[in-house]
Amino acid sequence: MNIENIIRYILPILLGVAITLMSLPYLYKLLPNDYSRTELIISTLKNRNNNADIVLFGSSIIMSGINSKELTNKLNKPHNILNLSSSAQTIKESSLYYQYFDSTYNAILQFIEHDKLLEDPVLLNSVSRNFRLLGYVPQFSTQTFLSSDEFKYINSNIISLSVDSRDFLINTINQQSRRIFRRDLDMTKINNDLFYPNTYTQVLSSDKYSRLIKQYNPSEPVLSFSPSNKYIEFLKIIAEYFESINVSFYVIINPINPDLFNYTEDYKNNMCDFLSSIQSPNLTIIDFSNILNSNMFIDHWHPNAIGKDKFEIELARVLNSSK
Amino acid sequence: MWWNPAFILLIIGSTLIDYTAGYLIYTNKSKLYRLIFLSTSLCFNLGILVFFKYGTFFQDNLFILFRSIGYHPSWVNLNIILPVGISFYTFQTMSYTIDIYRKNLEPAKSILDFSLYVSFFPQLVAGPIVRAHDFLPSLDRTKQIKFDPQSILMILGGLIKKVAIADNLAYNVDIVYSDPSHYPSIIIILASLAFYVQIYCDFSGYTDIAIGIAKILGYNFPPNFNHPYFSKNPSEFWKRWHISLSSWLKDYLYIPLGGNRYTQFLTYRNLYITMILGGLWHGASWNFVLWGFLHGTLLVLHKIILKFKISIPYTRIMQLLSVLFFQGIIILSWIIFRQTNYSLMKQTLRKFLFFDFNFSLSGIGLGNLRIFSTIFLLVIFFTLHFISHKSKIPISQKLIFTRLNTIFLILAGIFLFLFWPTKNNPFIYFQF
Repeated sequence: MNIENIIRYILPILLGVAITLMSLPYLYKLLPNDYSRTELIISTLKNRNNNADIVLFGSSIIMSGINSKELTNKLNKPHNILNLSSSAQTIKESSLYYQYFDSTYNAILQFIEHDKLLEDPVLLNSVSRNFRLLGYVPQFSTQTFLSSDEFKYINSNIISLSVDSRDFLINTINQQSRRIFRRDLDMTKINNDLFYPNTYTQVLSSDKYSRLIKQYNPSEPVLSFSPSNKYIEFLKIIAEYFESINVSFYVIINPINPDLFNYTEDYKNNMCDFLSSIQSPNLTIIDFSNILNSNMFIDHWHPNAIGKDKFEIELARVLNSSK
Repeated sequence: MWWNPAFILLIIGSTLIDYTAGYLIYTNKSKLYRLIFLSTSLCFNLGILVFFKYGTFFQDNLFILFRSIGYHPSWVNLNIILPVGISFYTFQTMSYTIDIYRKNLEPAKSILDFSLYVSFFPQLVAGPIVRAHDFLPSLDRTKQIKFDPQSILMILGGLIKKVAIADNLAYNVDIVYSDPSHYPSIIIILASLAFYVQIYCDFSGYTDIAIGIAKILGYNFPPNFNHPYFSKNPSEFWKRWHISLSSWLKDYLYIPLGGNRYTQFLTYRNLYITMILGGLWHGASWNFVLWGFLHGTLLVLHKIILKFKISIPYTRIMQLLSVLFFQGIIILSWIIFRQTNYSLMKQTLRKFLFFDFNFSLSGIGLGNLRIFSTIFLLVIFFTLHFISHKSKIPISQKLIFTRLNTIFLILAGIFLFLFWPTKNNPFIYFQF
C-alpha cells in the first residue's frame, strides 16, 4: 500500500520536477527575460557577419549614453562600431565575450563606473548561468579572466545550472508586466539593437530625481581614491590579452553626476592621478568622470539626450587623436 | 533565534521537571502539595521563557527608562539568544501539568513517552501546540509508517504554500517594508496584501507539513487553521487562526482569569490580558503588544455589538461586506505585527490608510519589486483559498478521487520547482 501510494502520489510530483528541469534550458531561451540581450551579443560576436571593428562594452549608462552610429559619423576615419553594452554589465561579464575577438578588430572600448574600481571584480553566478543557458561555451582563453571558482562554476553541468536558474519564469512574468508600467522601456529595441539600445526616455520628476540622488550620494564626503589591487591587476591582464591578439584596449571611466557631490574634487583628482600612473602602451585609461554637467543626466547616472551628445563628442575627440 | 547544542539542556530540563511534577501532582492527595508541584513546573517553564525571550527586551526598556531620568546603568549588556521552539514546547509542557492538576489527564506512562511528546520533531520548532490528551493516547497504538494520500497531499500543499507562495511574496514585502516612504500607497497596499497572504501561507504551510509528517508516522494532530481569512468578526477569526494557541490561551489564561463568567468589565479585562499576553508571546517587542491590544479591542467591541444586539441583515452582500471590512482590519493588524520599527510602522500605516493617489511607478525600482508575480501569486492563493473554503471536502481529498490527479500532481511539481526561490527564507514562526 505504501509503495502504491508513493508511486501514485509522489512520483508524479517528481516527474513534474524532472520535466521542468529537462526543458528549462529550452524554455530559458524561448521565454523573454531580462537577460535576452546577452543572447544577441553572443550571437553577434559568434557570427561575425557585421564587419565591426570597434566594440563598446559597459552598463546601461552606455546603452543610453552612446549611439554608436552617430559616434561613427563623428570619427575622422571610417569605422563600424557596435554598442554591445547591457544592463548592469560589469567588466567581468564583458570578459566572457573577449574570447570572440581576434586581430580583425581594431579596438575594444570598456566603460566602467568609477566606484567599481574600489571593489574586487567578481563574476556573479547569475551571469554565468545566464551565459551558459543561452548557449555560451567558455573557451580556454576565458580562463585567463576568471578565478578558479568562477571558471569551475561557469563550466558546471547544465542541469545544476538549470536548477539554480529556476526562478527565470518569475523574471519573465515581471519583465513582461513592466512593459505595462514603463512604456518608455522598449524591450524589443533593447534585445535587438546593436547601436543604441536606449532605455531612458522617460523624464523623472524632480522629487524622484532628488530621491535617487539622495540614495546614491555617499553619506560622507569621499576624499581619497583607494582602488582594489585585484581590479587593477585584472585590467592589466585584459590589456596583455588584447595586446597578444593585436587589438587596442581602452578603459573609459563613466561620467559622474556632479549632484553626487560627496564624490569630491579631491576624490576625482586622486582617481585621475592614479589612473594616469598605471597607463601603459597596452592599457589606455580615459577619465570621463568630469565631462558632463548635472543637467546632462536623466537620473543619478544615466545621460540624457544632451549628455549623450556630449559623451559622443568627447569620445570621438579622444579616438580621433589616438592611433 | 539560534541552533545551539547547549540549549538541548533546556528542553531536557523542562522535560524532567514537568514529567516529575506531573507524576507528583497525580500521585499526591494533598491539594497544597499538588499546587506546589504545579507552581514549580509553571515557574520553571515561564522562568526560562521569560528569561530567554524577554530578558533583553526588559533590559533594553529598563535602560531607556533609567536614561530618561538621567541614570546611566553600567550593567553588562545581556545578549540573550532565543532558543528555537522554546515558545512552543514550554506551552506544551505547561498544559500537561495543568491538565493533570485539573484531573483531565493521566501522566505519561514513561519518561520516554513524555520526552517524545515534548520533542516530537514535526511540531517542535513552530507548533502546532499539541495537547497531551491528543498525543499520548496514540502512543498506545502500534505504529507503522503509512504514506497515505491525505498526508502526502497535505505535505505537498504545505510546501506549495510555504515555498512557492510565501517565500516569493516575502521578496516584495521585505523590499517595500524596509523603506515605505519611497513607495506610493498603491505599492504599500499591495505589499500589505502580500504580507497578509505570506504570513498565512508560511505558518499554515508549515503546520500542514508538520501535521502531514505526523500522520505518516501514525500521529493525528488537530488542524491549526480553518480558513481564517473568511472570518466576519474577531471571535470567528480566533476560532480559525492558530487554533492551537488561541485554544491554549482560552483554556489556560482566559478561563482561569474568569472568562466571561463575571461582570462585563472583568470580561473585557480578561480579553485584553489574554490578547496582550498572546501578542507578547509572538515576540519581545512593543509592536506585538500593540497588535495584541488591537485584537483585544476588536474582541471587546464585538462583545459590545453583540450585547446591544446590533443586527446586520444576513444577506450574501452583507456577509461579503462584513468579511471584506473585517479582513481589511486584519491586514492593518498585520502591518503592526510586521513592522517592529515604530517609524516604519507609522509610515506604512499612513500610506495604507490615507491613499495618496500617486500612480506613477517610475523611479521606484519597479524591476526589483516583482509586482506582477506578486499579483499572480495572490490571485492563485485567493482562488484556491476560495475553492477550499466553499468545498465541503478538502482540495487534497478531491485530488485523491479525481481521475486527473496524476496530471494535477505533475503540474504541482512543475509549479513548485519553478517557484521555489533561489534564496531561502526561514519559517516566520521559527522566530517565536
